[in-house]
Amino acid sequence: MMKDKMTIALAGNPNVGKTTIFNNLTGTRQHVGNWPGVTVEKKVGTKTYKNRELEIVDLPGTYSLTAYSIDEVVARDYIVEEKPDVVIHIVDATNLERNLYLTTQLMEHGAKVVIALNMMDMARERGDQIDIDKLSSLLEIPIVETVGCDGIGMDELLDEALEEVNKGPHHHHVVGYGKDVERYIGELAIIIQKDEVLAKKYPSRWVAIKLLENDEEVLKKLKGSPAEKEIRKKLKAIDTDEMEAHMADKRYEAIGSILPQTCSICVPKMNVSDMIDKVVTNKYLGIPIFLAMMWGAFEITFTFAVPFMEIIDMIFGGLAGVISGMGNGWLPSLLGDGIIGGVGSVLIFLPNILILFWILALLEDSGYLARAAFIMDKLMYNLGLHGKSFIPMLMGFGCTVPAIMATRSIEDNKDRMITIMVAPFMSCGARLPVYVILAGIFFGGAAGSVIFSLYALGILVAILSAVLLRKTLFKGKPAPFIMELPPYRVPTLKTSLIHMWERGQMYLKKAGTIIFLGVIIIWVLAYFPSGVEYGSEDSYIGMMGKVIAPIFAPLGFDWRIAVALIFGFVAKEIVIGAMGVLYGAGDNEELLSDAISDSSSSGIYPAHALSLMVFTLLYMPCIAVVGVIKKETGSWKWTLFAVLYSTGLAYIAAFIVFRIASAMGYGG
Amino acid sequence: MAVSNENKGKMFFGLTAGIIYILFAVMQILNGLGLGLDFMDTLMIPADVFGGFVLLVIGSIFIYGFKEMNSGIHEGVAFVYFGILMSLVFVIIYLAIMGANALSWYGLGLEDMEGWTPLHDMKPGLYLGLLSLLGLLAWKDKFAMKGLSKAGI
Amino acid sequence: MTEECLTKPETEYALSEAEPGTRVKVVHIKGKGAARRRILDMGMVPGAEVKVIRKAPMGDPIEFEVKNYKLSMRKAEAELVIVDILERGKNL
Repeated sequence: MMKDKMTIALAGNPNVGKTTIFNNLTGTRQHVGNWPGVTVEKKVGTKTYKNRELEIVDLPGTYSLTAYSIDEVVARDYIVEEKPDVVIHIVDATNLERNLYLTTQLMEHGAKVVIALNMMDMARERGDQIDIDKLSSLLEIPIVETVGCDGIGMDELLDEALEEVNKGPHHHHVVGYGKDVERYIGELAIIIQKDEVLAKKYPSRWVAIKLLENDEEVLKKLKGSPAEKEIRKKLKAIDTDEMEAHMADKRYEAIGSILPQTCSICVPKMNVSDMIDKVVTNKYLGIPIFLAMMWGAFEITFTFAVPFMEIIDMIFGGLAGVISGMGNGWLPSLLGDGIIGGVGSVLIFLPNILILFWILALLEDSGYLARAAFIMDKLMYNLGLHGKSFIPMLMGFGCTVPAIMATRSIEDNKDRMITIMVAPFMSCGARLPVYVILAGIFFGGAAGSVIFSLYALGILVAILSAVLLRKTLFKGKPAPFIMELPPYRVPTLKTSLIHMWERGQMYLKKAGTIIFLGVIIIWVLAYFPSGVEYGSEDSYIGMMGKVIAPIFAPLGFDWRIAVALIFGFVAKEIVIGAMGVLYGAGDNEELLSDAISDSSSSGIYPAHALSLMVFTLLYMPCIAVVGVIKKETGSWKWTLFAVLYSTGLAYIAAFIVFRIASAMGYGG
Repeated sequence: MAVSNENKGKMFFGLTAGIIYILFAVMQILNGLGLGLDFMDTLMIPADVFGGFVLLVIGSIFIYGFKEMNSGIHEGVAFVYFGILMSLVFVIIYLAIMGANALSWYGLGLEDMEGWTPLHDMKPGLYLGLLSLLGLLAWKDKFAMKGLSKAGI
Repeated sequence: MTEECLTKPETEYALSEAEPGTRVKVVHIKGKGAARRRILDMGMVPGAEVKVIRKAPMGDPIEFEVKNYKLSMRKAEAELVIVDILERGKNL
């Protein structure tokens, strides 16, 4: 027997427990992808319920359905264009007034709506008395009480949804906009209906309302319509700015007239949430608390992960050793040095990434992330960035891969792109071994200051780049900062772990492929032509080093350093390992130190070392980072830009440093 | 404004914990800057500027709470509770790191972990947590987070 | 609170100027485009009552209470919101 198919969309404000309800409804049967053409995440799940095949689509969390953000456009385009059979609107019972604003808009979109009144337990505990039946009859929408984190009300919700589908349309005029505006709406709707294609595709009342609100996206949809000219003429005579405020006002007014009848006591008192805010946003303590928390997050992400990374390293290192020891020839080397090494270099970051995402999930679920943005926004705004850019930049000191993945919390695309472009300049953990060895050899007692200066240089370059990019490629001001500070919640282990795993999986799938490919390419270059020593002067990579060596000569690098820098593309700490091979010291750090500290034979003087460190700090991010940049920007063009921009900067900076240091007599 | 008896206990706690935390913070920061004194070793104070900064922040939160309550602002208790909470969060972090190091040493036998014992990771951030634990036990009903819903986002 | 500050509709008073603790009523929202639309959507509609809660540690953004929830905006955005003062806050 054929099962009936049905599409259900989940809509709701951010922070109302939408994802939990989505997970409750679909369980593990879900698929994460992107909405076509944008980097907004799209989650679709399926469920068989009462002999029906349900497709459940999780729309982005939005406050409204205007054209403010890409999330809103995605959500409403789905509703008006794909026309899901029913929309389940998840409403936070503790914050009815603002939540119902979205309800009024969903109805205008011509959708059939069922409300899941979530967090009812909280509302009751607080003393709110919500008359659900009354609310339901006033809105003409079925309402089901739910408690997302305990899974209460899920079947009832689906039952109501199935029933609603079978009903005819019954609520088009929940918000009346007053005589004058209704007249405009009516007149516009008549013109719109002259264009049959348009009228068939979109509810004409909705189009009329959006036009009066001066909605750019809907104006775009009009392009080429036979009714366009007439509509534009009509709109010219109307003050749409005034309209927009009027409509928002009327929607809230409609809610305002419903609420007192349905919720006699709906006023929050000074509660735990306010108490916490009093402390963490305190004028004097807010920033120190934030920094201390970040330090804690940092410690746990990067120190706690060490043994797990070691375990992965041991397993893959051991495996690679065993396999490449199985014989000479290209196959054992490909399997050992290439493939297993490649898989290892993808997995090695997994502990870092999982822990970081778990912490970010805890911070986000608890509500603290919004406060962090609130606290740091002024500083970041002055740099042309958004408050939410701070955490990714900070994480960059640990590892750029999770840092770039953490930019997902930034909504505005320009803000996010700039953050992605500058985050690699924060000196990550893998660059430190390079500094430690080179600075240790050439600067002795001043090594600490040299390393500190490199970190400072990284920060400076990041700041200047942010300002520069904002003035050139990503023109305009940072996105407006109009953000809810949601009430604090106690994060649950289950939700935070789900969150963590979703992101971790994404890293493995998308970034993993690119990292893996890159590692194989490097292997081919280092192994062939057959018969040469791996990565030596005679291998392709060695030849490449010799070819590009002249380019690096102004920076003081010979072909060996050029080769080491190519290897550094795999991971920056490999620069040292590669130098070991090239200077005939193998993987013995002491031998390497002896070999290169003899400046007359190695050709490395303090000026060269400084130049090399600066170049290592700034030049193209490692393969893993390139992988995530591609994944997160969704564009090869921007990925290439990131690579060229950073390498170009590295070249200039290293050149300047080398020249100055040489002029001061450190160049041998 | 009169201070209730209940608040007096919290004020005392805030003041004491604040002073102790700040004292250890200063020692840990000095040690981190290479200005440590011999007796600091017996107190197991590491040379760790950032860790010292964390202690300083926790201590300041306690003192701020005391100051607020002392000037009759009841909400000052929020600072004392938060200080307790935050110091315990760091206890958990340090314990997790200690566990990870134990794994590195006993489980993996890493070279640079040679001679490691749990005492290596013992630090004020950990043992001062006992003080906060006392506070937590004394006012545990306040930490039930009543009025906060569980996150399901 | 003096009579004077209640009856001064000629001079526009922006939400960004209000000190923490102040209660105001929104008169209208200036400007155009996305920011204005967002402000309206978030409940800062003409007639809405708003309470200024606090400023961020560096003085910007500002936290408000509107429609029974907490909203934060930069001064730059709060300047668009023209208000009447209902009750002046004690400068905390």
